[in-house]
This record gives sequence, structure tokens and C-alpha cells, in this order.
Amino acid sequence: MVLLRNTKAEPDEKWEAQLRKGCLELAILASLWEKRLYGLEILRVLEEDSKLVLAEGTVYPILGRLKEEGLLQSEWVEADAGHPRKYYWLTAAGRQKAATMAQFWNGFAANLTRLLKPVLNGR
Amino acid sequence: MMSTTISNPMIENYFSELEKKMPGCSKAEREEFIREIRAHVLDRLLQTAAPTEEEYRAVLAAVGTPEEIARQYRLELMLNRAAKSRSPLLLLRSTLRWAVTGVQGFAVFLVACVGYMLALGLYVLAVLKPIFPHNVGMFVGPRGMNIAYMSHPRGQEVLGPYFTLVMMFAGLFLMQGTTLLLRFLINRFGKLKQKI
Repeated sequence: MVLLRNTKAEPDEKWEAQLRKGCLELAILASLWEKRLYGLEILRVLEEDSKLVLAEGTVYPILGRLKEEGLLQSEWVEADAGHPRKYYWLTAAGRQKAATMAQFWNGFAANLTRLLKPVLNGR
Repeated sequence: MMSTTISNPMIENYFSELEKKMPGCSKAEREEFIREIRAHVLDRLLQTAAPTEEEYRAVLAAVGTPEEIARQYRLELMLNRAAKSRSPLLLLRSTLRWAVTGVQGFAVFLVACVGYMLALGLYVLAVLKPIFPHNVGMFVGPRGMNIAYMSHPRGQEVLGPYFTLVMMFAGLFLMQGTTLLLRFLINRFGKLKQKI
């Protein structure tokens, strides 16, 4: 896991960091599409499925904000681990938002991929 | 099985640092947030049977420094709340916290102070007018216009009995204007300040 501190980063790294950050909200909403998860599980999904890298702790304030915006709901659940975990799940508004964002992303990515084709092929 | 408390001094130190870095939010909010980060750290530590000092350090490094997390919290939740708020107190508190992070925040805080102070000044004058009808008012004289309390009024008081009403409206207008401007500034520039 890499901790990104973009204050002294090269322009390219900065751009990558911005891009990741921009996608993070959608990625978090998408990770909760199937079932309710707690913070660490969300992080695992993000790492495995989308290679989104972030300082782990920073995901919690984002979860908090999404909850305040009414996109997520949460609940502390007792676990075998010996301490409770805070589970998150999508509200109806959250599902709607995830679907809209995914739709937009799809069109956006398709256009950009088409645009980038000559750049990638053209060596 | 792991207990819910961690007796490692490095971990405890980390959380007391984090708590110190989160002034301004309510005790309940702070406790809730720290409880969640604590559960995360516990879960990470559960992955190793008997964590060494090195592993404690690695877990905390992956979570991020207390400054980093507290900053993220401030930007995501507090500015977010303020951007939607109409409460001058909340806006002042949030911009004050923003002010200590740099020039931009400080400039916005100054806007907040000047706007609300002027509005408050107008309210005070509106209230004082019935008590000191001859000393408070909008005085227009050869040297310009004064909206003030004057012990020796100069010039002509032009608003008369309407002074209180006009100042009340002007104060309200200024207050609302400052609030809207602050919300705009927070939305426009506050989010840009977010670091990864």
C-alpha cells in the first residue's frame, strides 16, 4: 500500500492522484452494490477490483460524508472478532447515484478510450 | 481472541494525537470517528497472531498520520456541513478552522468576520435608535454620510423613524449575503484544498 502525499509529487503523480481521488466516491458506492460491508472490507474490494490506492484512514471521512448526504446508511454490529464493526450499505438514493455515476463513467471512458487509441498505437 | 482495547503505547499515542487534531467537532462525533478507526486498526492487527512493534508501526503507517486523517475529516465533513449551512456560527467556526491551514482559508475567514461584524453593527444601531433617537441615525452632512452613534451629531438625520426598520433589513441582507458568499467560497475553493 502506497501513501500518496501529493504536495511534492511530480505533475504526473499529481494527475494520477487526482484521478484516483475523483473516482473514489464512485468506487466506494460500487463496492457496496452487492452487500453491506465495513470499512476494511470496502478497502479490500477497492484494492482487489480497481487497484485504487489510498491511505486507509482517509476512506472513513468519505464514508461519513456519503452518509450525511443520505447515500449510505450505517450500523455498528457485534462481531466474533471481539469488537464491533461499523457496516455500511446503500440507501435508495445511494443506489440511484451509483447507477447514474456508473452510466456517466461508461460513456466517458468509452469516448476517451477511442480518443486515446492513436496515441497508444502510434509509438 | 483480541480484546477491544489495545495496550500498546504507540497505538494509544496515535489515538490521543488524532483526538487532539480534531478540535471543533462535537465530542460524540469525535468519539464515533475514533471508534471506527480503532476498529480498523484492531482488524488489521488481528491478521497477525502476535504483532511486533514493527507491525504496529506498519499498520499505523498504512492508516495514515493523525494529521492526514484529521485533515480529511475536516475537509469532507466539516466544510461539507458548513457549505450547506445557513448558521453564521457554524460558518465562522469552519472558516476559522480553514484559516489555520493557509492563506486562502484565512482570506475567507476575514470575509466572514467583516461581513458578520458589519451586520451585527447595523443590528446594534437599529436597537439603539429608539433609546438614543437624537444620537443614532443616518447623518448626511457636508463631509459625507455617517451611519453611527454620535454624541454630537453633525448633519441632517435623514431616515428618522424608519431608521430601525431600514437598518434591520440592511443587517439581514448583509448577513444573508455574507452567508451565501461564504458558502460559495467554501464550495468553490474549500474542496480544491483537499489533499489525497
